[in-house]
Amino acid sequence: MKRLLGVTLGILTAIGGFVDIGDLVANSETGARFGMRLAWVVVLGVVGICVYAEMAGRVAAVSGRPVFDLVRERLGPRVGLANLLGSYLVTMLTLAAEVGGVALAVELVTGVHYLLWVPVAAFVIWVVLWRVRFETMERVFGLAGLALVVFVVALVGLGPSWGDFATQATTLGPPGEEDWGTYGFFAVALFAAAMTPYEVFFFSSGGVEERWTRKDLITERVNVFVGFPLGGLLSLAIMACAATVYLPEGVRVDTLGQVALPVALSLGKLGLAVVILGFFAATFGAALETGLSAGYTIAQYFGWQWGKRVRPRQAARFHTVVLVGFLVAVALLLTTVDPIAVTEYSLVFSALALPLTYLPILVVANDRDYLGDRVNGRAANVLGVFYLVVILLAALAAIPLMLLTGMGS
Amino acid sequence: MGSSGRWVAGIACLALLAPVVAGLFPTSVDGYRDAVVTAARDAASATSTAAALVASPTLPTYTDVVLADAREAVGTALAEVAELDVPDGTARGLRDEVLPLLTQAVAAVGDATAAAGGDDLATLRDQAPPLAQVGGRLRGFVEGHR
Repeated sequence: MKRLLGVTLGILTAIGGFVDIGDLVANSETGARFGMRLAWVVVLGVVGICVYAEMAGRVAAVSGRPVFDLVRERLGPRVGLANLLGSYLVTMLTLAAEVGGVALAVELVTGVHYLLWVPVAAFVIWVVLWRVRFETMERVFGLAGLALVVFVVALVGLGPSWGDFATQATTLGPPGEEDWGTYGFFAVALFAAAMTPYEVFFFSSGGVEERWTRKDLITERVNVFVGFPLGGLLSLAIMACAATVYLPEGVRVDTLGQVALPVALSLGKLGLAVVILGFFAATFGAALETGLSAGYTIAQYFGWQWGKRVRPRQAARFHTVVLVGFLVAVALLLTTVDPIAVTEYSLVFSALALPLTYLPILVVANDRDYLGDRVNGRAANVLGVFYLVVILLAALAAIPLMLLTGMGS
Repeated sequence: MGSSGRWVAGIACLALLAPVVAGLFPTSVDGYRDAVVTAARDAASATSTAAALVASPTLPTYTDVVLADAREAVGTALAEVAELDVPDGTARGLRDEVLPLLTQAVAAVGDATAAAGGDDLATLRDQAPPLAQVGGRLRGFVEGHR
């Protein structure tokens, strides 16, 4: 049981990374418009995040310090600042979207407009961050997020044509009614969603919070190689459910209610209740992740005391940054901006920030001063460099594709 | 700022201003068609979603929220088409074809919302065929004019 609970950090990180509010809608929208033709991007993203999360987790376990701390020390304050600015802005946008996502999930149960829930949701999330132990937090929300496995059950219940899925998944290019521009835009957005910068910062900082050492390298790898593929599987199941229900009808998906409908059609009220619980847990967990990540990056850059393993009074500046992050998120949402649109923009900007995040991790993971004999092997470096090229291409393509396609519309 | 910096800043300003300047020009027939087809597609998505929703057993609050989203989507689509400048006779023909469909969509989603407010599930189920019908006609419009 203890070993099972040991992988909850990876599960929480992956659920936040793969099935947060933006991903829930983006995966469903992709399935509704492209079927499974972009499933390969999810697989590419899962392997990429596994490669880099493993590096970041190993750095934390061996050095006892989070990766962002070492990036600043190893590459200097200027590179660290570029890294900080890129990832912090994306993380803040994502935090706002996740708080909105929690409010949207509560709206589905109560019928009360989500804007009324935004301040309440932000306050409750902040109280959890302030009061609840890190391990308890990750276990409760990581495991509750697994309720989204209901998409896999619902998919089987919908009785899709698996042959059509196979044909779509092995077809490179858009269906007849879509063009290459939107296909490319959604490919970049899905890839950026899988590789979101805050995932590696949260994962490595979480490893430090859990006091990982060299002895925990196996735990770290199990977290990576169970958690992230599980997140990818859930992404694919959401995509496939939407492809089954919406693609034949030509329906576009842009609300959380539509994302849940295939589950309701397949499993009825019980399935619907479970999927809404999953939405709540996944967005709540992602809000915890992004809220903490905002504090982690700033505090680690400036060398402040940080984290939940120390008393709040000892890490007052860290907790202040977290609190300010929530206040900014609430202010942004109360302008009535659509939380789902916020995440879609954050995915595009995330693609831009990816090189700033992942190149320094690759450099640190090859530094013997920090990692001794645990530096990257040849396979990790080959994959790391390959993914850097993919990341660079995604970063270069993100803005032109966004402008050309009008955010994929 | 160096000369390269000025170039980058200039290009960035042009990129930001381009959509604003483009919005000042009169609507072309192609632009009108794109806008009308987009509105019809959004309305078709909303009505088809509502049709699938009312035909299935779901939680009442969930039904209310999804129908409210659908009502907002069809209302927005209708308002967008109504507010567009009509550049010529071809565009007028498109408008005359799509406006009745959008009005039917608004009515069908409104009826479903009203039915969801009552306790009679059978009445709610009865809203599925008209929603599916108008959704299908809107989809036909989209496919015919894409």
